Amino acid sequence: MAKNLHMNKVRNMRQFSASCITTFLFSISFNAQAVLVDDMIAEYAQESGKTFSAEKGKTLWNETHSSKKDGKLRSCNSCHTKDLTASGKHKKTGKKIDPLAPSVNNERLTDRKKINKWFKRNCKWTYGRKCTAEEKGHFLTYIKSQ
Amino acid sequence: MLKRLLILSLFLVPISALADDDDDSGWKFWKKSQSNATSPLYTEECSSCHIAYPPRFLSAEAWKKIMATLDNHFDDNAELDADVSTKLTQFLVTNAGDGRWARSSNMSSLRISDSRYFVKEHDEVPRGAVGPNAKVKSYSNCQDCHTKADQGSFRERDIRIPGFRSWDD
Repeated sequence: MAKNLHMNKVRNMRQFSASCITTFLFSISFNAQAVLVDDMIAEYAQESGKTFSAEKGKTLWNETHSSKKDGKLRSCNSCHTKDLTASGKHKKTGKKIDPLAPSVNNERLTDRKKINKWFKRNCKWTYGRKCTAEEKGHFLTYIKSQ
Repeated sequence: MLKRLLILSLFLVPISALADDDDDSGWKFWKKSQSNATSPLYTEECSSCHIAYPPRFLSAEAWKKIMATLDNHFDDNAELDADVSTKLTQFLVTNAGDGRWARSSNMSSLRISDSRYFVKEHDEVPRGAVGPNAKVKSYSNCQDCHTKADQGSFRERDIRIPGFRSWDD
């Protein structure tokens, strides 16, 4: 009888510890996403001397730009759509693009190299040049809020 | 008798090599490289907008040109960091197709769909199955008809043209 009670206590303690550790680890991984993008935003703020807003990011997102090649209009929403929680589609190939919003896709904004790669490619394609630190700050602030 | 047998056997060789298209044997007969090589880096960096095309589908020269002009990659920008680009170029060149059929009949084209092998393999595709077909649109979208393209397989038995039917000739 006493032994059963003791074993129950041990089991309960182990379950409690396991759930504590799991919660702790989960919160670390969740925070990793928040820490990286905040770091990058802070770096852009320092570089540009500006503060950023999700509203301005959204405006930039939906602006259209005329391609130097054929005059056709290009925009971030050409592939990623206006709703960042929705899947996008590559404008030419039709390949599905996973949602950008961290609220529905927790892999987004977690990899610095990936973020830099796509800024380089997509700013050059859309604007014909690299994005400024100010523009990147607005973009990340907007995407982070979705 | 022997002479007749010899002459008959000459006819058998090309038939046996090309008749069964179902397992890519015709392709293997003509090219040296049979590599079905994959690379996690290649998949990660080169399959966001289209499938990671098997390196054997283009010649080494074509791959080098593509990797040198990623800032204008078929009207898109697919630029990579220099170290990644170098690694991928090496992977592609090492596993490139080097049979004559991997080369384009139009030497300035870098498109897989312009290569002689590709054109030959798709010469029976019905009109309207690709370009005008909203579910496919372009030959660059292998996966729309080749249901196992993402696994590197292009077998006829796995072809389903959306809006048409299974491919069976």
